[in-house]
Amino acid sequence: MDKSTLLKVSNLKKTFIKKSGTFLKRKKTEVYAVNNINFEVNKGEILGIIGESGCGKTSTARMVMRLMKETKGEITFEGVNLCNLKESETNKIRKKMQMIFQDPYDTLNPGMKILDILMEPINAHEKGLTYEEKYQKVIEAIEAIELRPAQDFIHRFPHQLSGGQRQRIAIARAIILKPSFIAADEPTSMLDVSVRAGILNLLLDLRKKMGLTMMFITHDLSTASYMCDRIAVMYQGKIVEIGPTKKIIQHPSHPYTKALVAVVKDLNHFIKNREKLILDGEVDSTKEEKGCPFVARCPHKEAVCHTQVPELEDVDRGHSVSCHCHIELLEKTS
Amino acid sequence: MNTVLSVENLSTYFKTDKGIAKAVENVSFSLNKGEMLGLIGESGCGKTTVAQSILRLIEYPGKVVSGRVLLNGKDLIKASEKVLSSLRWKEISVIPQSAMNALNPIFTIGDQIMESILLHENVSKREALQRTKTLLELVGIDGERWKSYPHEFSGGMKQRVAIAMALACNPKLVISDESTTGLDVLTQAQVIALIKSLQKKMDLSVILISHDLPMVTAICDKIAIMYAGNIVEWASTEDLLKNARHPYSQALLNASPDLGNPEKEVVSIPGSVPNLVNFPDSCRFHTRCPHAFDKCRQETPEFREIKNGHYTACFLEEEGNHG
Ligand SMILES: Nc1ncnc2c1ncn2[C@@H]1O[C@H](COP(=O)(O)OP(=O)(O)O)[C@@H](O)[C@H]1O
Ligand SMILES: Nc1ncnc2c1ncn2[C@@H]1O[C@H](COP(=O)(O)OP(=O)(O)O)[C@@H](O)[C@H]1O
Ligand code: SF4
Ligand code: SF4
Ligand SMILES: [Mg+2]
Ligand SMILES: [Mg+2]
Repeated sequence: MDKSTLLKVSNLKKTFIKKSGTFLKRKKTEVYAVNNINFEVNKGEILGIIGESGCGKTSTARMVMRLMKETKGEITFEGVNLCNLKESETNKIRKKMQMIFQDPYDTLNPGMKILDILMEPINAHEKGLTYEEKYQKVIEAIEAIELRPAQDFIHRFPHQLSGGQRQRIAIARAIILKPSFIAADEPTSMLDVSVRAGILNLLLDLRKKMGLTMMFITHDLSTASYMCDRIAVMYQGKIVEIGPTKKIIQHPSHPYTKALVAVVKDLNHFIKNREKLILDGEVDSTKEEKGCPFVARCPHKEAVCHTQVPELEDVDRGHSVSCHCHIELLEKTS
Repeated sequence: MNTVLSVENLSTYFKTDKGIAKAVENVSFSLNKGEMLGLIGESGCGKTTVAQSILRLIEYPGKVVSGRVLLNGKDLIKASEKVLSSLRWKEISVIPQSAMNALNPIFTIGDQIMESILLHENVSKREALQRTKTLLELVGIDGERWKSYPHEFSGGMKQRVAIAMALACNPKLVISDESTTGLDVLTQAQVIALIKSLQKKMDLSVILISHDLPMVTAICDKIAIMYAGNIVEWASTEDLLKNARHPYSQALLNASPDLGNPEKEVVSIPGSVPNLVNFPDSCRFHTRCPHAFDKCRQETPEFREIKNGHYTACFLEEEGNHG
């Protein structure tokens, strides 16, 4: 493992059993929430994970954070394989890795005051401190997330804050133990447009000040390009393209990424050319597909796409794509 | 001019246990034949209330307290229930936010579309079925699938069915109330593309309600921006993008990242939306406006035309206040 690599995910898999059908004809099918993915996050960088709802973003983050057990695979953090750790060892690692969730309403205990919410992680991990020292840490964390004066907020309950303020408190809780890694799972998608920018800029600012490394999950390509150094594009449990943000936006190579970029960059262009970008058909996600996960919607598919799963391959340094036809595609479009 | 719909000084209030919530206050705009208007604003700003007021679907504890809604010159606010039911579907119809609100899970989609045709038009069952199939084809679904139940369709397809249903009786005006919110980005773009192409093909007038400013600016002819129950600015899309006049519009344009402009630094709007219950006389944006001055806190700015077809409500537009 490279010295600059903080987190390495190898062959990670998660399957769920989905029950369907009628009472008499119960069917159990395996859903591949995360299907054999590989990626690394380097120290100090923000890796974006984008993709539509249900593609496996949250499951990936929850496994990395050890909030969910993997079906298969390896997760190495600071050189340690997290998958084989004992509960007590995992607890120690948790201090260094924190998660920010989509919905601040769900994640802050409504019956607790902000002071107590922020004391909780300190009490769990830094037992040796005096009350004054702990209190000071709480105040510093609230100031770091730009709620001022901090003393005005510590005696409030979560419902006495606006959505944006609540998400800031969730961020304060995530940074209070000075972690080295943060996974933020769609941290602005429940917030009003007018307060989103504040949360994005706060995270960028904290990254700079605290030297944080981040995994930033979003379904919005514009937000990903604003926040991230590199972007991984997921589709149905797989990473279909990964690379530096600039490359992904300027030279998207996987047909799915191409369509996404076209929609967000120039919707009118997409509307005029949509037959060339994506098929109108709808996907049946329960159907077992032997080949490429995108085949049902892909306008460039060929016979091989139905039978063989494409592997993630380098097309340029650090830019990888999983598509049988990407070389031809690149030639056609450039 | 070919005005299809004209909303004049519309106000709709809700009675709450804390007082009167002025959810929509003094809203005016109009829509020409074949035009697409984007009605945009953050959640809770009153977009759905405007749509429901136009259709006279506001129920207790809500009430349209003043204003006119002229559909081809006829005031819907004063119209009888009988006149209204002859206009809904045939003149004006809605694509709701959730297709599940439009579709009944226990009937086939074909039966549901046919029923709305038979209810409003004097045609035979065979004709109604034929039209149902044509409508399904129009929205990109195989006509033979009319026998399917809603649960047999994916989210995007159900939304297409809801569109087919809204178009069942050839309306002239369609209101889409966040009808693509919740769909994934590509499906959303495909549904929007469908609405746009149908608008052109059938010369429809469309009000596209959304909170997605980039999407709306890409495809609408005109834009009306709502904040806390008011339309604060109404202009052609071009004018709005080049020369937004209202401080809220300007702030909203600066709030989201733009893929085409990687250098753009996004800025949030400080504070939060005021409580609309018993809202005092003042500009509703004054608590968050970087330009607010005394008058803004005491009086309500008038919504008026500042340039041909460009309307806004801000005291900065008055003589001598330009800052
Ligand atoms: N606890 C669970 N039980 C069963 N299926 C699940 C569970 N969590 C996630 N899934 C399924 O796994 C897939 C990926 O979900 P998720 O990781 O939440 O995706 P995303 O965050 O990208 O929306 C989906 O099909 C989802 O329905
Ligand atoms: N039935 C109701 N009772 C009380 N208040 C309501 C009701 N419906 C809507 N409102 C109020 O009207 C305002 C506008 O709501 P709505 O039109 O749904 O906004 P939008 O569609 O822009 O999200 C909100 O502040 C909401 O609280
Ligand atoms: S592998 Fe085939 S189906 Fe999959 S994205 Fe590439 S061209 Fe399309
Ligand atoms: S009227 Fe005053 S407070 Fe309102 S937008 Fe204009 S300057 Fe700002
Ligand atoms: Mg998720
Ligand atoms: Mg609404």
